[in-house]
Amino acid sequence: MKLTQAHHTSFLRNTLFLPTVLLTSLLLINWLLQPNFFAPHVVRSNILTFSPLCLVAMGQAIIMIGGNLDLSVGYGFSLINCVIAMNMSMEPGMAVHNGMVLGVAFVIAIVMGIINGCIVGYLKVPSFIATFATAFIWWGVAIKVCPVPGGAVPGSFTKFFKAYIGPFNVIFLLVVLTALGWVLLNQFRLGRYIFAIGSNKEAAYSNGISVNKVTLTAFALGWIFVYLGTLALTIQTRAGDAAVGDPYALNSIAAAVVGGVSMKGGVGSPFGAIMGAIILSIIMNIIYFSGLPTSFQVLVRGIIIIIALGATVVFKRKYRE
Amino acid sequence: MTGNIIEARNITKTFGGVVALNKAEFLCPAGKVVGLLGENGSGKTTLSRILTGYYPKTSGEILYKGAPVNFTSPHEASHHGIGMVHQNFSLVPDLTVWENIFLGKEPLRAMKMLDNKKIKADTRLHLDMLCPWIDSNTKVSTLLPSEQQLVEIVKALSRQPSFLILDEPTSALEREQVKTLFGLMNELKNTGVSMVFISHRMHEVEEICDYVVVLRNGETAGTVDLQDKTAVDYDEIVSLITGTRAVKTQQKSLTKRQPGAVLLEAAAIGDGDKIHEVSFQIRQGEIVGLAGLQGQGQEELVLSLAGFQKITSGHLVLNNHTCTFKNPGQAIAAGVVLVPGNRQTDGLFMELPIFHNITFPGNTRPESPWILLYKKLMQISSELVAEFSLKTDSLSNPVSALSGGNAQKVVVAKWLPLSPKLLLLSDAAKGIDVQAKSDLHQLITSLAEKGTAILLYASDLNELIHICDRILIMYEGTIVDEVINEDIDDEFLMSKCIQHGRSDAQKSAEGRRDE
Repeated sequence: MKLTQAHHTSFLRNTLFLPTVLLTSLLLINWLLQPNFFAPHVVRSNILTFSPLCLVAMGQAIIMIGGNLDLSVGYGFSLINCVIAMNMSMEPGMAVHNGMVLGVAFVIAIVMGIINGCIVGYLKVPSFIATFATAFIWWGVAIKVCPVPGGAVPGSFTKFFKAYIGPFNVIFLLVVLTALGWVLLNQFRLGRYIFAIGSNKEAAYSNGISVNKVTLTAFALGWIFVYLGTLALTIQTRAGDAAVGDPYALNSIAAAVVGGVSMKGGVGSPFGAIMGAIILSIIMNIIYFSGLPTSFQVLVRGIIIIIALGATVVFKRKYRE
Repeated sequence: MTGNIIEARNITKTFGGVVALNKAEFLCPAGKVVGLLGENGSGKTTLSRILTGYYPKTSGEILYKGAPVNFTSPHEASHHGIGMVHQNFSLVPDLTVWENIFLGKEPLRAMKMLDNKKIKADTRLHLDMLCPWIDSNTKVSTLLPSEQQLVEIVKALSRQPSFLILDEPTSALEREQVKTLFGLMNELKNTGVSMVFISHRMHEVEEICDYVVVLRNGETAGTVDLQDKTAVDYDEIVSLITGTRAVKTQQKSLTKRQPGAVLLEAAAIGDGDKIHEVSFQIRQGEIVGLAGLQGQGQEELVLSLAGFQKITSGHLVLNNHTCTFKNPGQAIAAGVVLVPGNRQTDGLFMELPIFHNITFPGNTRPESPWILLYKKLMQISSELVAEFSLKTDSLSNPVSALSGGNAQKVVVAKWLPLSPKLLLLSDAAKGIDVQAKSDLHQLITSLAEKGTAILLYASDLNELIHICDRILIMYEGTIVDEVINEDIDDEFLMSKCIQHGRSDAQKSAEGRRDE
């Protein structure tokens, strides 16, 4: 009897197996359609484009592993974006002011996470309903802050975040953040608690865990990544728009699921969520380069996503249950 | 009737890489009751699920009424007259009893509308055979577990099967209910129905079965004819179940423990609902049992002590300090831990790895370090796994891959690193096999020897007699009697449990007479 941490049977059961296969094949397809796909500047620009969804999906994954989901990350994203774009100053010498704006936006993000966490954790409103409702609140405030798309983000700020660290700056940032998410969930007691409440609330409670508190914390942590995702987009658009976050809510959930995060909670990894986000983004890329008429693109995108999701679910049923 | 109603030959079933059944053989003669025995994880449930079409078999052959069959769904099997009483009930909790009993088989009237009148009337008829007191309009979720079990049985019977598998139908039932069930099974047998009876309770198997088939590690270990009760060697059956292992007969542990100082004192505690005025003491190193008829507040008492529900009156004194627990977390911090009866819902994170479960919460308490020290966690879990002789090939496998008995060991083992002062067990040995039960009892005893106080509620009175020093008898939410465990048997204990009910009824009858 071996009592080591052996993984001999777990190759196919690993939650990252299918996302890896999907991602590799999609990368190859994309490469065939777009020969310069692996050129450094293309990689860099792709990663920049993908990074907001990657980060939001990671936040969503943390919330989903805790057994909930958050439909309000999209409009929360909008609100953060609007607050930053409408309050930053383009004047020189306003670095401190701009830094404070970023800080305030961060606090707003955390507050949104805490509000959702309280409603779901303490009032016990199902997350699906609760965050569907709060999404409108965030949206409403975002429209107040930024009634028409506009505002401005100074180039110096953009440059600071785009500053090159080696050839692949943003990749580096993403890798660090993923690692951070992984460490958080796997190396800290708190992460263990989040898996526990997502896996079985009753058992977690009987093990002495405060389910409410951990639910709240999972939401707050998730929203840190939503904030980072918003930053990643804002440095690219350099403007505020109350509608900009709209697609992120459902895309982040889809990305997490494709990346092996369970809708029921208790299973998944931040790395999977990032892979899922890249898979979804590459699908868009492929459609764009496939030369399909624009009128078809949305339809085809839907079909490919349902295939990816379907494969995930079927594969999981076959090998993991 | 002659011949076999069902013959299963060379049945193999694998899940992923795990072999659940390995060339198992199973025969059921027509009009007989065959007992299916084996430890948890030996393949009993898998075999019955293959026979009833829930799982496809990997290989092998099934003959039903002499013809080869290959059922692809329970629906198809039930169409051919094969029924099953499930261990984890197949009832829909939010539907009423009558809606459940005819679910999927509803009689229809004109325009394909449901014939609810007929459904209700038929439900009443069927319920009257086994549990006439159940109102068919109640929601299943509000019934007692034993009542749910009875409804599950009635549901299977209402489909008038000619071959019926009963998977541990008695584990949730009281003695009287088991008797009624056996009466009904004998009636069915006389009308030619063949049955398979799965149970861990040997005396029940003895009583109702004509044959037994023993499974071990997915293989058929042997078949024993029970029709001539005098010629049956029961030790042989037990050794077939356990294999080559030495058979540990259930004998009382002879070593007398010397209980220490009083650890916990309950003074007239109540929860404002199911328990009231409960007073007792437990000393360090003492094993105290809670006995009583089903639903007399035993479970509620254990839950109240563990902080799952509020104590609204009276007070608890632990180690000379008055204490109140608002939630299980506070109880755990004070050294009072619970091994719940329903391990799947209350005790375990099924899809998380074994070592996560086993080091949770012992090494993830708020006072333990923020960072998880994996090496240490793995080491601790390996030690616990070895100590509990827990069967698994990898600690990283999810708990869901373990058999019931092994999973229950995880639920107990995880508390050890906390060195609890008081260990509460709420029917923790329910539904686990002989060997696992004996391991569990040994562990409890060794914990008591180290000074842990133990309060054990068990629905099986023999279990209490087997390991307890003292047994408290509960009736209608309070402790009515105490028995020192010396030379008593289950009959005596049962009579104590019933006695109070009777004397109460007599008293109230006398009271009425006086008025």
